[in-house]
Amino acid sequence: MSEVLKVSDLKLYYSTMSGVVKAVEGATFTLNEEETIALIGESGCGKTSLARALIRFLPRNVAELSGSVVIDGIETINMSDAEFDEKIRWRKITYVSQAAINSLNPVIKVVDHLIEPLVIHFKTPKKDAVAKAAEIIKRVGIPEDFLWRYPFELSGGMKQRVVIALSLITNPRVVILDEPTSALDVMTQANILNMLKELKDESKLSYIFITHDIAVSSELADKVAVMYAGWIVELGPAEKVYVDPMHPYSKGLLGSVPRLKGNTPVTFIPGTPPSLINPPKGCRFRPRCKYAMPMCEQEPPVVKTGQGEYVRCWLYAGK
Amino acid sequence: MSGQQDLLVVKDLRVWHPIRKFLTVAGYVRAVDGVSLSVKQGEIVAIVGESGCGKTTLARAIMGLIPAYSGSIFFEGVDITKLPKPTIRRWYSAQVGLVQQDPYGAMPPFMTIKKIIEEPMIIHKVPKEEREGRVRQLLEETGLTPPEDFLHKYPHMLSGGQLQRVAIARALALKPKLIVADEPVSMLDASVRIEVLMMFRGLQEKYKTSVLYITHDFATAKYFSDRIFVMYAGQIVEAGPSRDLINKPKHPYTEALINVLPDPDPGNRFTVKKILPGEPPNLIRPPPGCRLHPRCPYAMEKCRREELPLIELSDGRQVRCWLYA
Repeated sequence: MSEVLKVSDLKLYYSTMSGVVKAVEGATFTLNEEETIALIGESGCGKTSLARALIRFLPRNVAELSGSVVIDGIETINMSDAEFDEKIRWRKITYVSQAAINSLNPVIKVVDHLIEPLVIHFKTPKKDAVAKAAEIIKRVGIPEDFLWRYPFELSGGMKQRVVIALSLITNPRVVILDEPTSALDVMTQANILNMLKELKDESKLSYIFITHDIAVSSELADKVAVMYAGWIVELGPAEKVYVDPMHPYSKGLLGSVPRLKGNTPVTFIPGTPPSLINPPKGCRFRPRCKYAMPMCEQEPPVVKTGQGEYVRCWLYAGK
Repeated sequence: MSGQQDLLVVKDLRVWHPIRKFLTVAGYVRAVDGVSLSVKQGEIVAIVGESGCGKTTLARAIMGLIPAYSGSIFFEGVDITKLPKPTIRRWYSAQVGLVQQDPYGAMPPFMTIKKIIEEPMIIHKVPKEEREGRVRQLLEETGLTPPEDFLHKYPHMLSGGQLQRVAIARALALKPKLIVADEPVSMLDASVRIEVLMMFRGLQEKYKTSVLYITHDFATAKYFSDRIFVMYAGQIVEAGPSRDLINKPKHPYTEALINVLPDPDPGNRFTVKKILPGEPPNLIRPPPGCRLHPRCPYAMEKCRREELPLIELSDGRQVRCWLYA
């Protein structure tokens, strides 16, 4: 399988009035064709920042963006915004943002939303673009005549489908899905997840799936990156992370998911995530970790646990 | 759990919102349509359903905030739908506490935490000497310690989890007999969610308060509640002890909902979920017969014609489905 995305040592800092926010630090992972990586973690852990750094949807107060982001063989980190826009965004990678279903303009027809990227970025003739829109909307399970309706006439689930169609219309390699189902009811959510699975196989897509809902993340994830306070603390295949997580935070996070099957007791992680302006010295999870040792006051090593897998924890150092 | 007496009994409650056209009523949105349920003393009862099924309307009617179209709501034997408004304000509002979904929206931003928790006690004329101590005690009980750190803060200085603790403290301030918790943890993160629910459960046991837990989330309802009522299109379709109901759902709707809910499992990505086709019905003109029949895989001729009541099964289960009649 070929590699479509390779992120190494990505760092993203924001400057704010109260100091520099270390939103993402040392993020490293690769994504293959037809593979899904789930970024899981609690709010404020840097999932969305990481994704937005990949597609360069960043606010103005970025203090530092460094490392390496190779998308479909092209290094993008040093590209200017104009160059990125011309070569990468829409063509290689697209983004379905968190509040995407509310981003559709209620007084612009569905068809005009869909053809916009084709007409503007690819200079496709309008007629061809409309034909393409008709094809794509059927693939996301919406009848073709809905093209001529307005977003306010659609239900939440349908709007989410339109937004996903919009992210697919330019044939990208990688689609970033930022909480694509968190505003939807469970039945609609299952429906959208089914559709995403199908689309991935049909179009050889790779997904970056961002969610705070750990159970839902397992619906798509081939590999899982658990994030805490700006760090990927554990990266591994779904078979490992969901079944037998290594990092104490991953263990706590999975332990806090109430299960429908079986009678596993649920637990919680005491305390709250640290401030990203003044994160604790050494391991950022140390103040909440029940395995914390004196050694944890030094920055934890990234311990390789397999091909493209790692855990950032002193417990596994030297093993 | 502890007592066996019914604290709250809802009988055949209908809450219909009128649709007005000019000066006439053109129709009704049947948000709650014939709901009967009971909550025992010290019991946690969950109402589970998708958005638009009427669960919040039901909660608001039980709180006495919106009028019932018909039916009755007995609280300690008194039918609150017959009470005049001032009595509801003076007596009933001190008996029932409310925890809302959005902690940020539920707190006045210009009031300190102390003031927020104290306010219900001021309204219900608790003497000043008692109030101060009670606020501190509530902060400690909800895990906001030391209280001095929180008393003079404003809501924007607290995290969502901390604010929801304040909301629970406020709901408990008058030692109510019933707390209506409308999606109290759905906006919180996974690890905090369980912490807040466990804290809530601890306090509920201590105060022997009954809780009506309104949620869309079966998983937390399983751990937090004693009994579950499943709502669909304004009606209760199934009821029973929480774990029992989740392990062996009987109604096709409950079954479908539970089947699409994942547990974290790497095998999930290779499966396609079976979903019910279509969407919940319009509540202005709900389908005749069983309200699920247009979407139900087991629908029979009878389901399309005849409406049916909740059927009592053994072991405390109830279900509204012709399959069990």
